[in-house]
Amino acid sequence: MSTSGGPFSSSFSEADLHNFVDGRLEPSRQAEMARRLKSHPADHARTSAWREQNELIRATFSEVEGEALPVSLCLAAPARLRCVASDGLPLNGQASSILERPRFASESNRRRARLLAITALMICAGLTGAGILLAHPPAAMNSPTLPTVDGLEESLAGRTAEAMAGAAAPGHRQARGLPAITIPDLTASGFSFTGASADQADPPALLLFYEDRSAQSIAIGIANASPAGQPAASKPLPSQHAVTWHKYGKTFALTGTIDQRRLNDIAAALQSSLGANGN
Amino acid sequence: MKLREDLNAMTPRLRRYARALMSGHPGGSDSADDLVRATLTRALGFRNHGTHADLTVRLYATLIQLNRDILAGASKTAPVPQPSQPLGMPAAPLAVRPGKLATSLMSLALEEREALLLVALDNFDHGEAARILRISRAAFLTRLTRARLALESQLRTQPGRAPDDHDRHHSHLRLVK
Repeated sequence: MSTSGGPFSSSFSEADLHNFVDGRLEPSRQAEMARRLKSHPADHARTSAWREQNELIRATFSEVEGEALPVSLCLAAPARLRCVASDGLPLNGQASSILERPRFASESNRRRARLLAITALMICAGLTGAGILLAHPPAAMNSPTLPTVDGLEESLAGRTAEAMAGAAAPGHRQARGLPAITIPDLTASGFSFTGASADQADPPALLLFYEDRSAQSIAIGIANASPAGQPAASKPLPSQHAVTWHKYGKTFALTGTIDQRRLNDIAAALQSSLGANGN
Repeated sequence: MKLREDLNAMTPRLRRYARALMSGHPGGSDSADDLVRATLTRALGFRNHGTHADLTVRLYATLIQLNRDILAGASKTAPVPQPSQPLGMPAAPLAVRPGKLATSLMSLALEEREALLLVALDNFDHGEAARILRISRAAFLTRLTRARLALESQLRTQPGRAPDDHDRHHSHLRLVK
């Protein structure tokens, strides 16, 4: 295609110049173009400027691809949680007309669901070592209303979380494959146990919820380690306000609305409170 | 589950494109995530999505169409922010701040921005990009040329100088077929 009269000299086609800029030519043609462009300063300058544009654009947005995905964009998390998890980022009014956005009835449930989603994410991240989410939506997350065990008092601590989560699941189904663990007592850290639910992902995970006097919430996710026994992250993930670790054949994820230092302290207390077998 | 896995794998890249497409817009990062979420929701309904390459093309085409729909809906109810009015624009919370590139990108016509970013950011070849935009390859190259010339002009302008109509029209008029 001749571009005579256009922005280029007549020596090159528009397609060739773009292909050259984008590195889409065969190596031999690429070299030939580079050689020919040297005798056409205007075209050479233009293609150089366009290459710089490409580099600038890629450099500017390169970090986006490496960012942790918000839960709202993880398809393994069911729709209800995807919506809740993005509550902190209000939908642009322009988009809201075409996007469904179911809501939780109460702030308490909303907070819990957010923690549930993040904890599930962290459990998964701990098991796979990657940000890829659970392959199957957790049944508890898909239920029309979150399985709650609100009103539970601290006196319940000591019951097995497995049994409680099973009772909390829709239809009181006993969740299978949940790790057996006694509900940890975090009163020394200022947190009271408020409920549990089962996340029937692969592997299934127990999710335990706690709250302190100032209504700050934390959630603990516990799953049996995968058969492959992949190593889990053992250090806090700063952007998530979460801590994951792997011990006694289980993966633990602790997340919450509190600051990272306090979360680390609770994680340390939790680790020391677990028995030798991790129960 | 294969579709979900493919979509999950493509999400970071799609998000990057959406972020670039909407950079410089008020609430760009959040809006971009909303757009990606809407795209993924649509994509879950894809049937016979074909090869991975076909799915990729369809996914980007869906995102671009949704963005156009949103902008078209917004233009009926509220004035669209002009590129030369960056005041009041909130700082993007993450890596990309609405700097000169964001402002320059926003000054491009939407169809030019779509075309340029498909190639420059997402490395699509021209045929794939034309398929995504549902236009001929020749029409795509025309858009790409316009976009690159306009961006070149914008990036050359002095900092703080608002892109003016003269520049934009000039870059359009230079392209004589």
